[in-house]
Parts: sequence; C-alpha cells; structure tokens
Amino acid sequence: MNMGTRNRTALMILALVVVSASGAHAQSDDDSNGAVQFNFSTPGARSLGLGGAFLGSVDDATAAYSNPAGLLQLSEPEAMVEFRQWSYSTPFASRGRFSGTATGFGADDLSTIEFDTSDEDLEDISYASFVYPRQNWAIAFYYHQAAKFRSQFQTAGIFTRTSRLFPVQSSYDLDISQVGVSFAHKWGGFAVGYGASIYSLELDSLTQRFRTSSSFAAVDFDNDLRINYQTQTGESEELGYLVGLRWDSSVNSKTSIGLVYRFGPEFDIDVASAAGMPSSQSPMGEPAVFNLPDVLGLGFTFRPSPALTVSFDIDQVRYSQMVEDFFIIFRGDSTDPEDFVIDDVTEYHFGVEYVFANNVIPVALRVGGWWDPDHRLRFEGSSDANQARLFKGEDELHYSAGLGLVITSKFQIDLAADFSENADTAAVSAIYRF
Amino acid sequence: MSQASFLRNAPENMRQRILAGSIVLVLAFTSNVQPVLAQTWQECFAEGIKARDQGRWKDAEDWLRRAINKNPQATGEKVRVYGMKFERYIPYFYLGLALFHQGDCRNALTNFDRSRNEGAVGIGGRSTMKGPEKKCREKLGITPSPPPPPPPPSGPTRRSGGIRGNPPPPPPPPNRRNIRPRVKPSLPPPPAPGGQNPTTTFKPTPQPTRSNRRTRVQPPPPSPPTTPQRGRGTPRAQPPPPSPPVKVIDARREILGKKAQEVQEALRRAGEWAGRLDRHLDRTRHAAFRQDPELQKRYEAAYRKLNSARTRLHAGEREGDLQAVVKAGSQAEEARRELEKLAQELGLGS
Repeated sequence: MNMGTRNRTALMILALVVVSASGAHAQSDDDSNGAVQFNFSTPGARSLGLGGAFLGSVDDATAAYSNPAGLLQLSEPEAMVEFRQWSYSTPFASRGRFSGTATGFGADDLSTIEFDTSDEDLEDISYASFVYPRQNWAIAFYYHQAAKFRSQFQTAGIFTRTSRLFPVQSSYDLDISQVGVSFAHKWGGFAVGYGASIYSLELDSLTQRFRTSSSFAAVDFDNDLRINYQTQTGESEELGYLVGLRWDSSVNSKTSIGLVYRFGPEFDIDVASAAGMPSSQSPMGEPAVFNLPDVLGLGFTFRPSPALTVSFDIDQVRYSQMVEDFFIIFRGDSTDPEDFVIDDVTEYHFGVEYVFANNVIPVALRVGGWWDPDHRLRFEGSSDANQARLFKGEDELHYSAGLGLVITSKFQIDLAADFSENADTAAVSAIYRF
Repeated sequence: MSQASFLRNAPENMRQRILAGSIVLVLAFTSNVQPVLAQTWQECFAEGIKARDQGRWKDAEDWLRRAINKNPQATGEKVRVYGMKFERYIPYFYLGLALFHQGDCRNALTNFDRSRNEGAVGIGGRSTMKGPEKKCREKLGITPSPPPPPPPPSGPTRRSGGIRGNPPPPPPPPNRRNIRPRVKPSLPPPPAPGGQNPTTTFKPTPQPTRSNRRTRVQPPPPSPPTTPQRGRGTPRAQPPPPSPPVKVIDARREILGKKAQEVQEALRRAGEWAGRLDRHLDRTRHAAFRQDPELQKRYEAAYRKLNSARTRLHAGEREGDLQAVVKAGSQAEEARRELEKLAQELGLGS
C-alpha cells in the first residue's frame, strides 16, 4: 500500500468515526437550565481577540485543545497559561403576563412579560498547556475550563390566561474542566491530531417555588410559603475525545485550513423534585445525564502579507444533544419530552490580525467578531406555563479586540476582550518558549 | 428512496455527521498533495529557523541557503516563524551556526564574518556567535580576530527591499564592496577569479594554510630530506621540495583547491540562474507552476541538485576528497544547465 493510499484509508476511517459519533442523553426541564453558557471558543487571548477564528492558524500552545493538528507548526517547547473573566447577563422572565389580559389587580398589572437578567462575574485560570514538538510529531498536555457558569434569579410568578406560575427562586452553578493529552503527526500533506481528556463536572442547582397569599398578591419568598423544590447535582468524571486535521496550501503557506471535531462526554447527575423544604432528609435523586455538546469546527486562514492574517471559522455546536431522552423533573407531569428543544447552532467567527513586527517589542493588533445564534432551552408544546418558563432567546453578535506583545523572543503576552449583549469575556494569556 | 430524499428524511444529527464526514472525505481524496514547499524567502527562513530549533542542522542549512538565494540581503528585519515567534533576518549567522554544528568550521567562520560585516548580527546574535566562532578558530588554529567595529547606526541592518511583494534586489556585481567580506589576515582569502557569489554560499576557496595542515591532515612521519616521497597526482614538474612530505600534501591541496574554485564558480553561475528564476516566480506568484506542474518538478529537482552539489563540495573540502569535489562540479554544471533552460523557457533570456 503506498503512502497516498494509506493516508486516504486512514482519513476515511476518521470520517467514519465522525459520521458514526453517537448521540447522548439529556438534562431536565428545570427552570435554571434555560440558558447555560459554555466556553467552546478556542482558548487563548490571541484567539479571543480574533473572534475565536483560529482553527486554521492554531500556531501556538492553544492547539492542544483548539485543533491538535496545529501542534506541528511549533518548533520549540512552549508553555502557556490563560486567565479569563466572564460576565454573564442571563435573561429570565421576572414578572408580567405571558397570555391573556392583565386584570389590573395586585401584581397582575402588566400585559406582557418583563425580563430581567441574572448578572454574574466569574474568573479563573481557563487554560494551561505545555507542548513538546519534534519535526514529525508533537505531544501536548493541557487544562481547559469548558464551562464556568452561574446564575441566580427570582421571578414574581408569571400570569397566563388561566393561572399564575409559582414564583421561583433559583440558583445554578456549573463547572466543567478537563485535563488532556494531544498528539499530532504528519500524514502526507496533512497534519493530523488526536486528543483524549478527562472531564470533571460539578453541578449544583436548586430551584424553589413559593405560593402567594392570594392569586394576585405580591411575592414573599418566605420559607413557610415554600411549595416544592428541584435539585440537580453531580460530581463526575468522564472521557472526551477530539480529532483534528490541518492543511497548508501546496503552492505556498499563505492559506491554511483546519478541521476539528470534539466529542463531549455524558456525565451522570442526580435530579430530584420534592415538596417542602430542601433538607438532609431530601429524597434521593433520580439518575439523569448531563451531556456536553459535540463541536465540529472548520477554519480558514489567509495571509495576504507577512504582517496581515485573516481568519474565518465555522463552528457547529450540537446543543440538540442536550435534549435527547429529556428528563421531566416534575413527577407525574405528562408533558411530551419532545416538546423541549434546543437547536444545533452554526457559529461564524471572523478575525484579522496585523503585526508590527519590526518594533522593538513586536505588537499585534487584532479585531474580530462572531455570530452566536440562540441556544436556550425552550418549550414548543401547547402549555402556556412551560412556554413562559422556557422561552426562545435571541441571536447575538460578539465583537472582540485584542493586543499581543512579544516581550522577548521567548515570551509573549496577549490581552483581549469579547463583548455581546449577554456575555462579556476578558482574557490575558502568556506564552513562554523554552 | 433516492439519495436526496434519504438526506432530507435523515435525522438532523445524522445530516450533520454526514456533512462532517463528507468534509473529511474530500480532504482525504485530496491528500495526495505533497507537503508544502515554502516559496518565499520568509518561508524558507522560517523553515530554517524551525530546523535550527530542533537541531536538524542539515535541514537548517538547506533552508537557509534557499532563503539566501531568494534574498541575499541580511536586512535584519523580523520574520514571523510561526504564531508570534519572530527572528531577525540574519541568515548568514544562522547558516554559520548550522555549518558549525555539522563540523564545517571553515565555512561557518566565513558566514559569521559575512554576518558581522553585514552588521545585522549585532542586533541579536553577537553573543551567541562568540562561542561557536571561538571554537572554530581554536579548531582551525586561527588567531582570534580583533573585535569587530560597532555597526553603523543606520547601515545595512535596515536596508530596504526584500519585503514580500517587492522582489528582492538583483544580485550585486561580484566585487561590490558592501557584500565582500572583510577578510581577516588570519582567514584564508576568498578566490579572486570571478569573485564570490553573493547569492549563494560565499565560501572562500580552501587554500592550504599552516593551520589547516596542522588540524586536518596528519603529515606522515618526517623522512630524510634526501629521500623525498611523492604522492599520486603530484605534478612531476615541481621543483625539489625542501621538506617533501608537507609539500606533497600542499600539492594535493592545491589541486583540490583549484578544482573547488572551479566548482564554486559553477555553483555561482547556477545560483545566479536560481536567483533569477526565484525572483521571477515570486513576482508572478508562481503562475508558471500552477499552469505546468511538470515545470515545478524540474525546478525542484534542479534545486535539489544544486544543494547536493554544495553539500558534496563542503564534504569534499573537509575530507580532502578530490573525487567528491569533481562530482560536485558535475552536479553544479547539471543544475546550472537545467536552471538556465528553465529560465529560458520562462522567457528570462540568456
């Protein structure tokens, strides 16, 4: 078998792996699951400044997670660490009326829904890696924060045509991190990369519902008025995988293309719903699954001049995996699980980098943007109550900008920020070459 | 069920997987594209630096020679290697390092000298150069050179040209002052006839010196002056030597040196054609290769032959192997013929 045939055979196997990737199971219809945010963007402040358009370039230590095939571009061992701050504004329906006409009595004084946001600022080491490259292969070890999300909100009890939802007090705390190893090697005209990682999930959510003294009365979140509560908890570790390809133009290396598929794992969690107050005697939860969506990414990078780089990525995030075999959290609820929907989304990322290489300290300026379609959990059945709890969100456009400073030939620092309606991210990362 | 309706009726997830698999398959069927052949001088230089980082000194030498062929001016400007890793364009310095690590001290020193004279090495490499240079001088028994004059504040370190999009300047005439190395008294002088090729190796012809006799060739045990030994190939018309064994070696070296000089000249001519072709290809964005892949293969083959001739010449000089030097000469001639032919086919004149 010659080299070309071997390459084709191996790549066909890779294609079959991608095609036959299995689906996964779901989370529940708890109110707090409406708008969970993940950190699927490629790590590194350089990438963030480019609007996450980095799958074609992947020419630094972030390749270990972004697209391991890019590791082959490095010629020196490289270590990297990134610190990110996330500011989430998670919208929720706080009060008002979903359907019917407002009566004007007490709290029923709005004919539409009034939205509010849960604002949370979080920060953490979001990425760290070490790459050891050789001529035809490279290995990397990395840590990545795949999700760090919090939300807390209280609703005043939304009115529908025939009833009023119980006012809700909810908190949600999700941490998903991973430690992994990636490997890359040459394969004919391609660079090919693989990776495996251990994901760790920590989930803790509590949603409590309260009754009001009358149908139209104002809300009082008093323990005595508590009706029921729902919890989602989990601490588990699972394996995840990723495969990537990278190709440079054969005429010159001005154009490069990267392709990556990341398989998200399924985590075991416990889901419970009970009357009264949560306590140590709370009922055992029922087993459910939290599925981290798979991501397919395709990136193009074009370098019209040595100083200028233009990148474009298309990422498909398979959020629909989160609602396969959906778990209805309220016992006895006959709602069809198929009515709970999250769409798969296609994100478009675009970024431009210009480098002033001949400064005493070379400086890179970056701008970018990306299209982040709505991926809220929503209800598409006929129940007003569920529609009011889990509603469709809005697509968002993110803008980003960044700066890179090559302090010495061995050390660089990058800074970037990404802004959108509901999530802002700031990052600083440092790279050291040995 | 037709294929189209199968796709329409397939679950969304399956459609997405089919799409992903199709992309991989398309790439799979195009994977017979050969590895990237870097074309611009920046790309050649970057590949040379990557090879240096990984200690692949022979590869580093080849890539750096390519970069020098395409842009002989050590401009000192920063070139992106990958990501945010930049290196100053001081190819003679890095070429010297690559040669040093391959044991070719003579040519390493020549390139260090050239780099110093270009001025750009002062920006980033002088301290790094000291160690290898000192070792080479010790190895060759050459007395340390006086400290180099400080580079001029605005001199050759920031020369214009060589930026992508602008073709690099044509190779200067052989004896142009700014590219001729200041040969130190302790170093062998460059060959006079034809001058040096500024776009290629800039290697001095190996002249026999006291130092290289001492370090490279073990003279046979001294014989009585009345019974001189004569080596094969020694010209018979030589006057009787006062110290015969050394003189025999001198004669051998002289022949080797003359032959090497001829090969250098052949390499210079081939290098000129290569440079002319490279500049044309850079200007036309390699349109000729896109139109005729066969042309690209011939070009690459000639280039490989040229590099092989250089390597063989170095080895021949190092080992004192006349056959290798002769073979290098014929390779250089073949490479020149092929490059000249290619240039004429592309309408670059004679």
